[in-house]
Amino acid sequence: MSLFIQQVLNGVMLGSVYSLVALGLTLEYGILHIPNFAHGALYMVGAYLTFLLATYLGFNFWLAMILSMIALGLIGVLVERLVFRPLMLESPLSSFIAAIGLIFIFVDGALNIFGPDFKRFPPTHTQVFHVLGITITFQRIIIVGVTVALIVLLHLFIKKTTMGATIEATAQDREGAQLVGINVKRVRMIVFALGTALAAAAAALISPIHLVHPGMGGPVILKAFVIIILGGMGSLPGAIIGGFIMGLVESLSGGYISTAYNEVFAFAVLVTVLAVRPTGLFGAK
Amino acid sequence: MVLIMIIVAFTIPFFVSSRFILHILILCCIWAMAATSMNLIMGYTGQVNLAHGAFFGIGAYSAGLLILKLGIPFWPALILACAITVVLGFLIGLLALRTKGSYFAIGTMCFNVIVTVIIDSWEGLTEGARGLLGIPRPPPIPLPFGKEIAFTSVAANYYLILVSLLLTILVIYRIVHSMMGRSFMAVRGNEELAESLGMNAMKAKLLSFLISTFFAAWAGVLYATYIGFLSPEISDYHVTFELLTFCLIGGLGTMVGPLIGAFILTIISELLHGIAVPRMVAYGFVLIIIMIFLRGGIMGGARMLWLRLGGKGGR
Amino acid sequence: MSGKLLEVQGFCKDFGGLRAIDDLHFYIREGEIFSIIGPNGSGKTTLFNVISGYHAATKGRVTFQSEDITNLKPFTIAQKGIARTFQLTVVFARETVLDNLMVGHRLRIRAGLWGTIFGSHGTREEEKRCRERAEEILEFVELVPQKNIQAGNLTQEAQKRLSIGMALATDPKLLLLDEPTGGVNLKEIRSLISLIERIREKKITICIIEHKMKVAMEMPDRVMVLNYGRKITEGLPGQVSQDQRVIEAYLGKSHAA
Repeated sequence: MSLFIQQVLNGVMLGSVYSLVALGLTLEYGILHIPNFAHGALYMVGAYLTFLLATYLGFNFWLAMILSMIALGLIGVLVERLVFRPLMLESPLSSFIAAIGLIFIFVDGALNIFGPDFKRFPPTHTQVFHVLGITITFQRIIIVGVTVALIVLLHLFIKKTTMGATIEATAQDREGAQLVGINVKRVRMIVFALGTALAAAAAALISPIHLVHPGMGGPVILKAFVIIILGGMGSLPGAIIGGFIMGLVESLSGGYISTAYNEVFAFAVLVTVLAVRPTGLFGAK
Repeated sequence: MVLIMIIVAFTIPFFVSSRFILHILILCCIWAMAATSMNLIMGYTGQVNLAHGAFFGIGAYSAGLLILKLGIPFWPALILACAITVVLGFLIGLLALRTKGSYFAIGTMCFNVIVTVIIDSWEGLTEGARGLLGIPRPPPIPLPFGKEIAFTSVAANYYLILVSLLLTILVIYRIVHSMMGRSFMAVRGNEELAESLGMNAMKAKLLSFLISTFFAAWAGVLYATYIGFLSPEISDYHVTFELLTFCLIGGLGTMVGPLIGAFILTIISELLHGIAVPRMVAYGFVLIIIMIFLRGGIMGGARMLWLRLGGKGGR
Repeated sequence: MSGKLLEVQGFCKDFGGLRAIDDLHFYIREGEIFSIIGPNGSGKTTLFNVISGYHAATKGRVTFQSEDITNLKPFTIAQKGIARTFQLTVVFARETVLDNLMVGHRLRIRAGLWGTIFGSHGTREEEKRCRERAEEILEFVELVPQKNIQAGNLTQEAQKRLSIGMALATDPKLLLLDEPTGGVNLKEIRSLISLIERIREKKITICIIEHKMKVAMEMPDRVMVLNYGRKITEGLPGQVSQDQRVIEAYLGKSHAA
């Protein structure tokens, strides 16, 4: 029983991270229609930035995370402006391939600069709680807590601010938004930056536990695509719920079946869903 | 022009005795086969198939396992391995081709990952990460008068692989320049329109998918028996992306494009093998630049240049 | 008296909660030109989409040459002899005009894998047939000078003729034209009308969706009028144009082309 609860908690933690990544991706792909396959690579860059700031510059973890989020936001702006904006009117395949190019640059760049080994964070938040026979580290609680906070902030931003309303309007009808005088280019920039910043947050949160290495974005990005396809492209709630479900499924199947195949399991689910409903669970024709 | 190149290709081993150069050329040919076949489904039929590397790997492993564990000789193993891969391709294609566009790309990529994970984890069958070792070269082909073609020399292997490449190019060329090829390109152009004109898009996509899978498998078998050693990485999605890069740089949707891409990039990467040059980083920049500025790859650029210089073409 | 080529019975089409077409009955006689008119949103294109297999019928039956073709796939319906054009003209932009026409005939040949790879006599003959047919149609739709131009570079009107040509290349018995005169000027309308007449001479039955009353009344043998997804009347052009209900349906719209 305690194994079960342990796995569930683990799943919730994983799910938080996946939610954040999926939120970022659904902002980029669902709302801006940019198939940013490099989202995982940017996630990895966020992890390395946080790691560097915390380790070599000795910044406090929170400060490092926030700085990394800002930095990734700026990198996101650059990427959107230089790579995806020119390809805006072309077929999605072009953006997809350009994203693959970005992956090569970031991942292999990291590989060359930092080497393939796993980097370890200096120990922070390692207090351990024992509750009902289960062990929880403080870091894990932080992950879930910060995720919830970020989700709430994002929700408030979209629903309560003018910029948020602008984003929603642009997402629904780009041309209409332009006619009403909305600066679509600026909206694109901001949404993309939000997406990458969320990825950075997710990476920063999970790195102390899962360590940092150049390939860390790979499995994450594929799962993120699975999540947003299943949860509905552009649906923020879908990304959140999907993220948690993914985390729980992975944790439970990993605990009870085997960890080697848990990726296969997630993709098998995706493939099955797409076979039955080729436009995704909530997709329209 | 083409004839000259073929003659040159055949006579290379006569005036190049360096095993290293022949080795590189062999690798180029293998990757060119894989890239040309990928070009059929991606370039000519317009479906972004990101599972191609998986089929290369399945072909390679099938042959390796058939030869090593079941003692099946090379030639039947080649046919069997291709057959197995095509059957698997049929099942995967049937599922995956129900989706379109980006979903198809992601779906096939997931298949690719699944295949790699299975090869890696199913140690009982594939030796997993340890890899399959000691796959032998093809046995000698007996000729009349007591002679034989032995595959102990690099040159002999070169010919086998070169012939395979030429066969691949020939078959795909014929398909592309036929009515069948036209229907593939129609599906690429506008699937709905193609269907309104009576073409069964699903059947066309599946056929194109299977043909490209067949040649990917063949290339995989040649790789397995030439290199002699396999590890799960050869079916990895990185392989798929590299093949994609070859096609894009050379020019997707042209016959010559994948050849150019495969040859140039393989040569470059083999030559720079020892040097700590981040080749993938360079690939990345090149990909982005091509996507933004030179969509048709080298062939596309060459064609624009040709037109600009007043050559004939579309008006 | 020629027989019924196409018959639609009890046909309904719903999109979500919206009933786009309600209880529609009509038939098209072999060899005639039949036109369907009605204000925007009356369900005309939806009707074509269902007949040609792009949407499934919610209720009802479509019969073609006494065969039930309801809910068959688009390519099957094309193979059975119904071809169509689209309101927003589509062609294969990257290919030449001749290529576009050749591929239109593809459904009438086998193009088998082995024949293709080994260059069998049969496959070569098939390709020749496609090319000959394409050349014939090239002349018929008067696009001979543009034979080797990329279809995407043609004028809008030439593209319309090309798309009609492609539909003709499928050797159809019934041709569905969706607003063939959309976005063209008066002179071009004349030439399109004459093209349609020439198609009729080839014994191909034609069904046109038209928006412009003038065009819709000049050519056809019979006219059907839809409004809000229902048939409000059908009959000879002369009768229909005087029908009070039809005039009301178009109230506020000019009836000049």
